[in-house]
Amino acid sequence: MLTSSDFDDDGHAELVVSSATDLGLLQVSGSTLTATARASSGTWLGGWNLQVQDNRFGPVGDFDGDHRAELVVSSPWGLGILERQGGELRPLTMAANGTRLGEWNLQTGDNRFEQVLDLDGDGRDGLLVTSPWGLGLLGLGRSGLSSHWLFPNGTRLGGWNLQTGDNRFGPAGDLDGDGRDEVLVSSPWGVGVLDVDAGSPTVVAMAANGTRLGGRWNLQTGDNRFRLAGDVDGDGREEVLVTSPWGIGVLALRDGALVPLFLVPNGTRLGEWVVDTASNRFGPLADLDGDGRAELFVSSPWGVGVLEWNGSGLTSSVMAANGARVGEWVVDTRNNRFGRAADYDGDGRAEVLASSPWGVGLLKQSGSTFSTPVMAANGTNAGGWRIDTDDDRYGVRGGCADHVTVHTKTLVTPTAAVRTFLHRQFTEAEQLFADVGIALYRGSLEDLSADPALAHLVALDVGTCTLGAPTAEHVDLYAHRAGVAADDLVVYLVQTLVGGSGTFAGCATHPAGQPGAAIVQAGARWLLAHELGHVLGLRHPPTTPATNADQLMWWTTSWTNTPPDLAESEVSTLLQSLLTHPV
Amino acid sequence: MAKPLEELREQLSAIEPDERTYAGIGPADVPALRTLLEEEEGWLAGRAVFALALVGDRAAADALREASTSSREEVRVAVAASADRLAPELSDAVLAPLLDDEVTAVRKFAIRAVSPASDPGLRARVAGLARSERNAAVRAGALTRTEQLGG
Repeated sequence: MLTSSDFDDDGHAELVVSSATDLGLLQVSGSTLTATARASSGTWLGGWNLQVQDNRFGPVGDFDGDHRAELVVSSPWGLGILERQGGELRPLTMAANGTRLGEWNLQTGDNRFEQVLDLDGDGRDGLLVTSPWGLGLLGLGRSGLSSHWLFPNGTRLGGWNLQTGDNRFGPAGDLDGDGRDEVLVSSPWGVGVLDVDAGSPTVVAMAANGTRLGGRWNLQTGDNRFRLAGDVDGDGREEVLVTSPWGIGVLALRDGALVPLFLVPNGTRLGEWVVDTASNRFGPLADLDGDGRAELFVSSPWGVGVLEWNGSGLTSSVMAANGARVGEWVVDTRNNRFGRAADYDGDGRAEVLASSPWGVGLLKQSGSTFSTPVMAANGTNAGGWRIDTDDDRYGVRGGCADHVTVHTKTLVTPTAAVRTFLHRQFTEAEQLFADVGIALYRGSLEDLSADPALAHLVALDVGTCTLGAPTAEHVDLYAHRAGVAADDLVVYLVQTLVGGSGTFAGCATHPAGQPGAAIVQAGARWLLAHELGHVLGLRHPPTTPATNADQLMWWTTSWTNTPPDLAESEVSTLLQSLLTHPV
Repeated sequence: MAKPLEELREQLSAIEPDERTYAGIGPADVPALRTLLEEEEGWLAGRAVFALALVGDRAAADALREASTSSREEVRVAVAASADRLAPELSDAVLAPLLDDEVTAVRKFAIRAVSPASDPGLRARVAGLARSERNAAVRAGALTRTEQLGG
């Protein structure tokens, strides 16, 4: 029941697209994509000053109940909700940091907006907001955004102890079929479902870790990952897809309890698809064939598939191995990226957005295969937007349950070229981490380049660049953490990194309690992501086999089949890092 | 036998290098390393500098001496930081211009690379920098180095 991204109520979902300089909306028109709105950085969208490099776009929802989607945008200045008016985006509402939205104190520096949901069934979405203080729900009223309710940490919601420091919210969906959304909430203790009853939120269906849900699924929030919600069996109630190192399950809310509708261990063959949660990527989950049930799109190093409900479980309805041509698209999961599904062509079925180094396309389920009603190669002029998968980011990222915040401090003058470099590094890192459920928030940018006392650190001595063994210069530079919270990361941009083994492109060594990394301005697109991976606990994979060059943590910049991959075991490491926090 | 340029570039492209990064690179690779000094990526050009310093023969030192006047700060920093790997009779000529470099970080590494075996004139310049260097941290480094060099 979560809102689609139809910005003009024409039955076609639009695709939010952004680049290093522009923001736009793309819509399917026949067999082509065309831009229905576009604006460049520096443009005033009504009262909102668009700055693509420090604005955060998403999520999308229908906040005023007009059946048209709006786009949430936040920045170091504050929060806005943009709607499409003709060929332009304009703020439906906006508020500066420090504004009281009802009782909520808006501070985009530490407020997190990940979930959009209609908790009260009035047809208008609300924006779930979390902060170190607590939890709130913002909704659009006559005078702008206001809090419907808010609770400080320590509040008991039903029996649930609200603690935004370790509670994870999502996925959201109408789990009980009452026309209102609920949100799965998990913690180191267990899980529950946040529901609104008589206008007041409470947590139901609580279960502690170690509980066998329905007598079968072993609940362990340490390694269970609650990924997606959708009406898998078509009964009008949405279910939650859960995965673990053991296998996958579909959890349903039945009679006030979470129970597995279906679960299978790794190695099980679902039709032709062999489940392996270590290598399978799950999602999107959407009604791909118009039967009223949500199908699960899944990809792996082998290829892609669709799993659908057959009355008693999931089975494959579409299979396509790498190298197969589906419609005009050549499947290659080594470098294909699959975005969110939506009904882009208005036929009542959702299509999956695919992108690759070649361009973008929509994959439409057609019986036991896919067709490609829309394909656009890089360089295509899509009604004023030049398709460039090298630079564009398609769609807003899905809601993430975990996050890291990364600030930037530069010893290099932040010229336009430097800012573009940083934007690109952050964009790639954000996308890579978002794909595994971790939101990477950009923190502050501080220019230290004019400080003559730091001039000698422009070329930073990193010694052997051994984790846990910072040099004296590491200590000097990393002491500069103004405006950075204790567990936030800092990336220091320097001109040169020098150690006993030569010049470095990046180095993740940092003093204890001052997490961060240093990088130089390089062409390697995933350099920042690589170094952040180190800070969060990842190590280089073995140098053999050569296919390990597909991994983000490959030891050189010669990644193959980009974007690079994160193994499921690495995702677990990232999530277990003390620097990764619930949203 | 000389490595092909692409192979050499790939070998040197470790994000975080270690001793294995330079394995098997020898005098025959100096021409290719010279080419890599022009690499657009400054950190990779710097990696070529270190490889040349490890080769350390006359041809490599000639390349480094030319690199010490490069217009690219990253290259000069790398030359300064790697010069201590050269024999003193070769490193002196490389370090000479770098002790007066306009870039603070270049001077910092050049000071560290001056050794007890360096020309007395170079050692005297380090002592001079211990008094006159503008950047306090580099000045302190020059003072420490002067003491290590025996005044």
